[in-house]
Amino acid sequence: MKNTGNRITRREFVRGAAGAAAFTIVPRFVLGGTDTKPPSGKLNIAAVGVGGMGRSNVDACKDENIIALCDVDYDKAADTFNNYPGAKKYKDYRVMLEKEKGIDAVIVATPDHTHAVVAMAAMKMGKHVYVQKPLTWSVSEARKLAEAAREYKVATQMGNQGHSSEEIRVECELIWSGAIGKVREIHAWTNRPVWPQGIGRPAETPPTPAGLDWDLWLGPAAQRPYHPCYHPFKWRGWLDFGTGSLGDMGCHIIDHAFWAMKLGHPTSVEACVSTRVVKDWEKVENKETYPDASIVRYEFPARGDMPPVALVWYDGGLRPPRPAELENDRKLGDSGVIYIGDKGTMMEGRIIPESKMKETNLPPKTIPRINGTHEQNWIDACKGGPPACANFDYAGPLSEVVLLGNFAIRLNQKLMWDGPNMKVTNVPEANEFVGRQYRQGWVL
Amino acid sequence: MSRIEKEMTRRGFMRGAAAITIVPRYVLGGAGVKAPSERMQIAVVGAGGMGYANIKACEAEKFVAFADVDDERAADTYKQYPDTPRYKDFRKMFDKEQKNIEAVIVATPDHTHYVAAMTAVQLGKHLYCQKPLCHSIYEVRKLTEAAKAAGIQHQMGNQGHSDDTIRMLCEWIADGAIGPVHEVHTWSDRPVGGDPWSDFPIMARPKEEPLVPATMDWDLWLGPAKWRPYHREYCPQRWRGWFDFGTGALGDMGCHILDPAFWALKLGQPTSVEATTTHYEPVVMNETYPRASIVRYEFPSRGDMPAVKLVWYDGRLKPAVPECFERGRKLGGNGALLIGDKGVIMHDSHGAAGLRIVPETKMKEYKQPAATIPRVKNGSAGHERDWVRACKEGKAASANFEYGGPLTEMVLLGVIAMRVKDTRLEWDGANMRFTNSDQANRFIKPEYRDGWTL
Repeated sequence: MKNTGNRITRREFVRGAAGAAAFTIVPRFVLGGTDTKPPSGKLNIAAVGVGGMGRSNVDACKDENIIALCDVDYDKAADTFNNYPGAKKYKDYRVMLEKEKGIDAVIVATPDHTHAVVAMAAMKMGKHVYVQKPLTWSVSEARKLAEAAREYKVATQMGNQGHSSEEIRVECELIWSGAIGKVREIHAWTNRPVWPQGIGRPAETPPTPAGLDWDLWLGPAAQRPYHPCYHPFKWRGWLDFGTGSLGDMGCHIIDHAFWAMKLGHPTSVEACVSTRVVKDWEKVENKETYPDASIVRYEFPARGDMPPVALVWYDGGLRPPRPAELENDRKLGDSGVIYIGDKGTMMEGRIIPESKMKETNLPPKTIPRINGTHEQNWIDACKGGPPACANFDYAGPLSEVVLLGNFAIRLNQKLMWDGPNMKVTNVPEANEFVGRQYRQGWVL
Repeated sequence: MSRIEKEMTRRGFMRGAAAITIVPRYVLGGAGVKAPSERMQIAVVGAGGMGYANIKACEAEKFVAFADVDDERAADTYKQYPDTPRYKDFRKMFDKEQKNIEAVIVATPDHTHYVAAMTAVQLGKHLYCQKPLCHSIYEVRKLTEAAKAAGIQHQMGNQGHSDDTIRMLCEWIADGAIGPVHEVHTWSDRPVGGDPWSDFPIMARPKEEPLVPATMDWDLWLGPAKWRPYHREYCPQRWRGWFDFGTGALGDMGCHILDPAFWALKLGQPTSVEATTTHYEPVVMNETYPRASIVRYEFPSRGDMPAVKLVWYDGRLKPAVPECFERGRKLGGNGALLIGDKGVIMHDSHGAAGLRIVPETKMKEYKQPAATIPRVKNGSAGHERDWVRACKEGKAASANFEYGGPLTEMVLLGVIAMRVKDTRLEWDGANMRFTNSDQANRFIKPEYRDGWTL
């Protein structure tokens, strides 16, 4: 953290003037302008969902004060709890936010379907938030979170940590310098799912484990009996809780194209899926989980001097065609992005073939670099530094693009998308999936 | 006498062909090939399942011998022809009955097409063989060459090839209805085999070793394939999904769905093929085809036709809906899109069933060219009879192996590409080898079990 003192001061004043949360780190701006971080400059961080990904997010913030940890499953969270004996333990984030007045910032690393309610509650109380990717479960939630971040003027960051990398910056600078000319075609892929998809709801209703508050785990989702096929980890494949392969990996992989190609709203999205056949000759529509594999095709309009571009997403093991320029002995990796430009092709952030990359002079570094981790980048923003690199003004629209693909996966036809008005214009019933019907007792 | 028989007789008489079909038999074929009797004497290998449908279509002829490794599977056929000699082993059938046999229908699982069909060819019998012609490219080429040398009549069982619609497609393309075609997309909703596993990854061989049903000779069912214990996951239904026996969704449906483009665009041998598949590691899981795949072929320019990229999708994956589609028009479960400079044609499976220029306004404006390619009587329903006609007249059947062989080779190239996935395989068709992959070359020619010869 360097020379952020002036900005802290200005920002804190603005925040104060906006009537947001009271200052909790009073002496910080008094000491502004120094290179050392005084003990009193530490953030009070709370985290919700600390059994899985949340644990590594918390660990990355361990130089701050971890004051409260919340998880609906105490057994799953036990290791994290043990590592932070000073932190108060909670099952219900609502109770935690109510009781722990000193929280400055909240990490949200719950399953996808509860990101929005937790993050929104925190932001409404003026807390900074770090939210795992995808930002939310639905498009409308993503839009509302981005709007709330602006309204409450809190520092935000989505947990697509690759966005802090050097590589993605070089990739953008190369493309913006015209290294591969105009790009009209992009392919992106992942090897996910690596959890079960394409399956039906289980009939058995095993008892809920003692440490788990199942009702809280469900949050705004419709009630259903507990089953280990949902929690832990495997929720990603279930329509009601996760966002499938695309939701899991799209915010990492499509992130590259979204930034480098300045994509914004697509004009259309279309998907085809590989469904599982559970009985000979009987095709069963799966309304429970995402498919084993899918291809999602997006079309984006011209942007500035960039021509219209088609982006094709593949998952479930499917990969795009090998680009003609790719060396014979090189494989397509487990995930990646390929840009087909009229003057060249890029894969995994580098021009291919590699010999051509080696001949290319890297353009000037125009994009600011991130020092330290993605979480640190957010901490710096919380303390008054410039907005974090994957703040919600960026991460919201990126998540919207990713989540739109799940519309298409559900509806299996081409959808025309009116981004500004958040509406499918050609298939009215598709609009049901723009948002989500919350269970009684839950509001955003 | 059935109506069809009457028709055949009348036709034969009017052409004055009846005499030819009976007397100077040797004139018609190569050495040793006899022209058939008026009621052609047919033997069937694989008399249950699809074989039964082929038999029904040829019921005006005489069935002189049946072979099926499973009495139960062939029960319907045996019931209908109680007096026809039955064998479990087609080799014994040929041994005992060859004097009575004039023609042979082969409708076994893919991995035994070749051994049964080649035996028939070597004995100079006319041959109707189910699609895909064989299980491997080497077998296809060898059988095609042998059939030609033997001077017999032959037909592959892709019955859509006898349909009027595939001929119309050829005429439209030749007429320039959609201009030069540079891109073709084809798709199938197969595989349709039920999935016995609830979790992935799947593709492991069953561990139980249930008893072989009393009605079945399992060793014969395996034929030239490596021995393994019997399991109902392989037969009677699901062999298509297993490497050693079937050729997957592409092998099953490719000979139907790729057929129209292969003919109309005179595709011939591709220069490259590349496949990608759903979760599936062919080196580790060396047993079954994937749930879904995409195969991408490249064909060079042919005469005045430009180079073509052809893409196959299965497992219910599909191509993108073209811009020219009207609202509400959808892609069916199986079909193809031919993308030309001046328009798009879509058709369904089996011939070019339901072919239309899209959008419909363009279809309506189009003045269809004259029907210049001879039609097959009764279209795809007349496919088996077209073979019978060929045998009797000595004039080639519509999907004879000189056509059906290369079509099958194209399909099987895609099957190999799945096993060496995400690799662009360069194909030297004339020399029947991949120029850049030893791994892929291993799949061209199969290894036969002891006691079976290739």
